[in-house]
Amino acid sequence: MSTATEVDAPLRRHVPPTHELTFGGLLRSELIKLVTARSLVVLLIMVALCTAGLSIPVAFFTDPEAQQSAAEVLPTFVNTTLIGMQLSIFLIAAIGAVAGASDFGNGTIRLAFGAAPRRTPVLAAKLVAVGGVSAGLVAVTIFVTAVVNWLALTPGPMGTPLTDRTTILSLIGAVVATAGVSVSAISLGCLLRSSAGAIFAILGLLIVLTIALMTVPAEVLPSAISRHSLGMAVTTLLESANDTGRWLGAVAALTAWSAALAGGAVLSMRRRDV
Amino acid sequence: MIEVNGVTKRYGGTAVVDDLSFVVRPGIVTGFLGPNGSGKSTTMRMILGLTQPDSGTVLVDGVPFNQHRNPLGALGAMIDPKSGHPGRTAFRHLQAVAATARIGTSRVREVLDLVGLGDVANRRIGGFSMGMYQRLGVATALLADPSSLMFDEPINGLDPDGILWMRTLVKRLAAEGRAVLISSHLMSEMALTANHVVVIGKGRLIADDTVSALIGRSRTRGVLLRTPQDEELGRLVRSSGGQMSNGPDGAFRVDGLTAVEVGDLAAAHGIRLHELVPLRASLEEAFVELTAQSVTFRGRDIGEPEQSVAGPANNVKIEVR
Repeated sequence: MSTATEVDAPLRRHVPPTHELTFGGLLRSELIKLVTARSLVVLLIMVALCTAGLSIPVAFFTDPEAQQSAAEVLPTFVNTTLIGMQLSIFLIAAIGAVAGASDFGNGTIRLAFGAAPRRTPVLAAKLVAVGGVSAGLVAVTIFVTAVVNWLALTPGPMGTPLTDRTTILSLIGAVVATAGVSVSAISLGCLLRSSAGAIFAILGLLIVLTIALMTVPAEVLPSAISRHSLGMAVTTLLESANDTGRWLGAVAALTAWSAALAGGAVLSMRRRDV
Repeated sequence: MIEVNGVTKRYGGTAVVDDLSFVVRPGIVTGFLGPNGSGKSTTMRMILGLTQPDSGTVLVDGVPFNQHRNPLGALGAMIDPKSGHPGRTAFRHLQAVAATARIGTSRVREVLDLVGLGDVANRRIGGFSMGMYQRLGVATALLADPSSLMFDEPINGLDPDGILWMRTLVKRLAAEGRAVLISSHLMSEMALTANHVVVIGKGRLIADDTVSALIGRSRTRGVLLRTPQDEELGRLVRSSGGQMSNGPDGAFRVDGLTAVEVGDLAAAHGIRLHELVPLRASLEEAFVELTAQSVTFRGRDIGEPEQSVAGPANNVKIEVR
């Protein structure tokens, strides 16, 4: 119903300057938000410190058996290099959960949706920015850690680990695990809209659900299902990739978990009011 | 231009906004008025796409807001001024919004200077006062120099200087050919700022008119007069169907008759008048009349304070011996 009355308005109309919403712009916006949130920057620094800081001392204090060749040192090299990731992965989960949920808590999401009302690109940009920075940081840290560890463990040639498929897959697996956990945690943050809730949820999926599934007898629940829980997939990717098939299965399971949670976050963002 | 067409929003079966339609035209300031809980903020959220209407459509410059290639340039809004990470500086806060539309940092500095926050651009917004948050919200809305603007309660927390600045800014923005929608509870401020008002109550449209027409429709009218023959004039007013009562500073107020009728009545009976002023309703009186049946939250009637003959109760008598 309307009782509109015509008003004498000037003919002049303001024409705004030409700007355009782009995915690159949204990505830059999310990166600015990430690097200007002190809590997230502190957590990212802690990821680097944990990944390198736990691994390198272990490598220096490991006493390789005498007369071992460079190739024989590789399993020890992989295990020591990935040791820090066992803790870092939980920090990655916390970063994702906080990055996903905090915009809802402090109202920044209303500004983001006012600038990008289609909403899905905002989530995509957040996943790429936070997941990319986390995975990139872990990749660089693992590379530096690997170089230092190799020098600490053996006088063998630096190129040796690059020739070993298991080593390469193991190190890549840590980066894949980081990206998957990050995407899952950001999605949970956007779904639950609460940092604390999202942290509990991702830790529940990584730890509690995995342990719970493992306690179910194989006759009740096929072991293939518990093997593909989020926590088990991540655990597999943070170990030495001796079994390529198992490694690929873990990548597939992690991708499926991440996609499912991201899909839920997309639906939530598009349908729920803010 | 913002067009709201038959928009309805229900929460738990209750219509918060009910078949609401109005247009915010460019070149004028449109005030958006309504009692608490009348659905103003929900309507503004629906215009911005933050809340999905159950039915009806909202168009910004003839297009659904989410289909604009340059949403920030189509509609700049300040819905919740306290939006933002408290640890982020004002500059970074705006830069993050500006980046989405590839708006440069020079424009960020320009709007910060425009709203008077240039000197605190590198301060964390968590330490800002309410007035500073309001200014930051206005800066955010102005980033892309949009064709339509929407401000929800923009003068809350502003000091008198800030209110004057906001009033001037809003008028200037409309004069530049923008459509400006502004909500406020301060009727006196709206009367000074808005050209047109949309009044809603319990989610439904009550009035959509110019400020002067709205005031003109008010039943609250009367005449203020001064006369040394008040008893005689009082009898004549009562016999003509009006009422005369004491007004301020020895004046009298007549209700139920126009100034012309009172003047003619006095002249016909040789009554001297020293002053005769027609009283006009304020926007506030017109608003209260219009929304009397639509108030969601009403306080208990506590009446007018009783005037003590001896003066204010906190007067202290000093006895000199």
